Amino acid sequence: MSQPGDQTRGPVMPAAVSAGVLLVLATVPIFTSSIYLMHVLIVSFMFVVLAVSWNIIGGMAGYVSFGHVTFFALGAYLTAILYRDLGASPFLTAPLGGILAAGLAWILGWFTLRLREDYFAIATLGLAFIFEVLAWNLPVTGGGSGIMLTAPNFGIHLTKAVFYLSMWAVMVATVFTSWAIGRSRFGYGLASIREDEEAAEVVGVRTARLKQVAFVLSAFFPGVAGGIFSYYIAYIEPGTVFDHSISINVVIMSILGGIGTTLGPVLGAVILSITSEMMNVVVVSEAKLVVYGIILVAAVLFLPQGILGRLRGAPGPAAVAAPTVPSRVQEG
Amino acid sequence: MAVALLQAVVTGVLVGGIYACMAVGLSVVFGVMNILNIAHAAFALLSAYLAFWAFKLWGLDPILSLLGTVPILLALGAGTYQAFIRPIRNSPPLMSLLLLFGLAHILEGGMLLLWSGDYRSINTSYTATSFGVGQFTLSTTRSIGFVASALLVGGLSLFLKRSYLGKAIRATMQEREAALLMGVDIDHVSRVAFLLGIGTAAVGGTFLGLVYAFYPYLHFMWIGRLFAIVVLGGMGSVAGALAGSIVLGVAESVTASLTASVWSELVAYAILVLTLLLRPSGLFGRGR
Amino acid sequence: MALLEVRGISKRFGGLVALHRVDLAVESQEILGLIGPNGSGKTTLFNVISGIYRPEEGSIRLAGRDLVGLSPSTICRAGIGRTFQIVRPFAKLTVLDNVLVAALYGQGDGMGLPAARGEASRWLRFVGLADRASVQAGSLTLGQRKRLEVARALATRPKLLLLDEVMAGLNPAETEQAMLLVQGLREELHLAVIMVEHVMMAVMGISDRVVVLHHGEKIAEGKPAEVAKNPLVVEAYLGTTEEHN
Repeated sequence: MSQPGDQTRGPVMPAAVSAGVLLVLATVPIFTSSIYLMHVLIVSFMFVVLAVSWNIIGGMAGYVSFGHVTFFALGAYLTAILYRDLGASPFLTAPLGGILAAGLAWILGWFTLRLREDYFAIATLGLAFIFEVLAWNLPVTGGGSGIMLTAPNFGIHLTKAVFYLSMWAVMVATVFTSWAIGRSRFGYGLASIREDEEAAEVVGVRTARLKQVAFVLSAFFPGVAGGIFSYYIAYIEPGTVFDHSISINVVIMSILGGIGTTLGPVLGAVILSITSEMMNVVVVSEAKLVVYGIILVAAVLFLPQGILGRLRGAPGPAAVAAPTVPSRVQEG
Repeated sequence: MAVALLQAVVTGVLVGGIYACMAVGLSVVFGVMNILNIAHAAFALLSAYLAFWAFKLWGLDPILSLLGTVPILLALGAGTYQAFIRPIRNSPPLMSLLLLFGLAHILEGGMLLLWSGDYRSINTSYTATSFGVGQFTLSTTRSIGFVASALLVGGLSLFLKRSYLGKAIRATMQEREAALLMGVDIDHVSRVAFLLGIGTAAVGGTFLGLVYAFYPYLHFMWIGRLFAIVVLGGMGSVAGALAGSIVLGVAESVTASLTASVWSELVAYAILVLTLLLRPSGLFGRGR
Repeated sequence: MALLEVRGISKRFGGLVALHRVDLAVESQEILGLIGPNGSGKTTLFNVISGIYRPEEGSIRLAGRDLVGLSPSTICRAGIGRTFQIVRPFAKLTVLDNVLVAALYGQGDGMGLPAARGEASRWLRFVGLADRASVQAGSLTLGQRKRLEVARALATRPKLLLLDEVMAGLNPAETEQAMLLVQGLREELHLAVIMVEHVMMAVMGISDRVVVLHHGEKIAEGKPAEVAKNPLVVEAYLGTTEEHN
């Protein structure tokens, strides 16, 4: 899956192999009825969706968002509210959650994507907190009590397997979209924005429009995943759904795996999900914060290209620490 | 009603004042090194915890424990600068933001592991007291914090204006290239600026710990306010940080008195986001 | 009507006047040299023409079309390409991909990937970088990066090319090659070119006309030989012991 920015020789996962893996995963419910295994996989799939979608704006376009959880939460709340007030079916409302998230991204992106890269990160973090406070306090969200989705019945008996396949489907859609972008004209445009936005403008790339599209796409999939998630856990409240560690996790996953590629965030999501599960067993959950922090610090210092980058022989940290080109051209 | 409102303003000014010294520190660090220290409040919180334990274990008044807390945090800050900041000082600002974000999590997680998530407060003999000035009631702890912060900011301003190192810092803040050409050791200046920032966090944190109950996750709330202040006032501007602190303090306090206090949490983030969206350079900033 | 007409352009940064009522015209297929001491506003003028800065007053017309206020990407598509004084390659992309981006976007939205790849290869051959096509752009030498900048600008099929100190930092052999390249732009590609240069031999050698800026104002204009003898120009350069930057 070679993409703009994949400047490397070495092991490349051919699309066929990936497709094969994905298909095999779909069959898991046939072979097992282990609730635990399916749960772990559902959560892993969800993180793949979150990380890969984040990567579209954060990795490919270079606009690192610290507030990705907002779109996920929005989807979760929309579906929960529509269920509570209208008894609506998840198959209808989860995609709506995605659309709402995408719409919000369009509006927010209009203002925030003009900002410098680190200001953008802070703005998205601030927005996430604002929405969280709203969720805690607006009557429609049920405030601190949240919303219960009690025993919904839509004809299809909502077994674990149904959730599994739904999340699997969203994961496949997300990964496929990311892969397609990576080899498209759009993907090259995003890469140029990431490398040097002004230089990109000067060769004709309509940076404002491309960034908007990337942001909107990155918001849609978490919205849908959030919608599925709210039915899955059947009770949502601001604390669980606006979990800011989700925002930091997707950043870590993408950096760890290899930012900018499609396989990178997938790898990072899988590794981190499994590690997280293992940590739940071995280590106290408080230590997770420390571990995530250490991973992030270490990644910035030693692995700026991610694991994938290293495997493929990308230059090490010394190359990345080179001074950046000033964005203001010198007066001549 | 008017009195209640004015009272809210007074309280707001006092609280804003406490934030001011930390905001100035944050702004200086940005001005010199072009990085947003998102771990700033985590250091401040650490200071609060140290003050808490010094008080709980030895009965040491938080103001006195500053004598120990500040050096400890400065040492930590020096280590942080050397190990983490210095290697990436020429990388894009985003990289340092990510790294400091990670560091903030390490600090938060560390505090959580060591001291649990229980709410802590420092209950000295004067903690819940207040005194009257005219029609207004001033909380003792807020007032002490305000004075301490004001002294620190005053001292910092003098340092920046009068001392050689201070001038070097200001020069670097205003015109990095020129400062380099004039032989300013940017690395040294950066380190000093970073340590000044940590120092302000140490002082501010202890006083915030006196005024409010705290727990490890709280640093995110504090940093939200600090960012709102420096963005509003303008990154790299000391005067801006002061102005922003007062504005934020008053806005929060007035909002809390007019509506449910819950909405006052929103004020800082709203100011932050709106300023970024409408006027990213802030009131006095250098415009980026 | 000239290809590019710049009239009365002024640009201020706070209190600093970078450009003051500059007039300029470039005919099609003309090579115009733009010279002046450091800080005279040459790159600022490029930034204004290419849309990175918006002027406070004045107009810029390309083949009659008003460009002021348009985004840089729109101006690029209208037909102006540029290189930067400090080269700005897309460092982590390959040399080919650098030019590919320009080929994909520089002429509008209709370019497909296969056609654009062909274009990109062609421009790499033109500037002599075809053998480095799959190398990461960040690892090129300075001379090679400059050529990459030119290839990238060319891939947007400009009518007018703004070259900003394309010859700075080159050794004599490379400078020779660069001069031939610039002339080739006019001869083979029929482009108009504005060159900002400090390498006098080069700019005087191949320009059809020269414009001189000093302190943001135009102080002289004409054929290279005339301008070289102009006392105002001589003084601007020699009087440069106080100063700019």
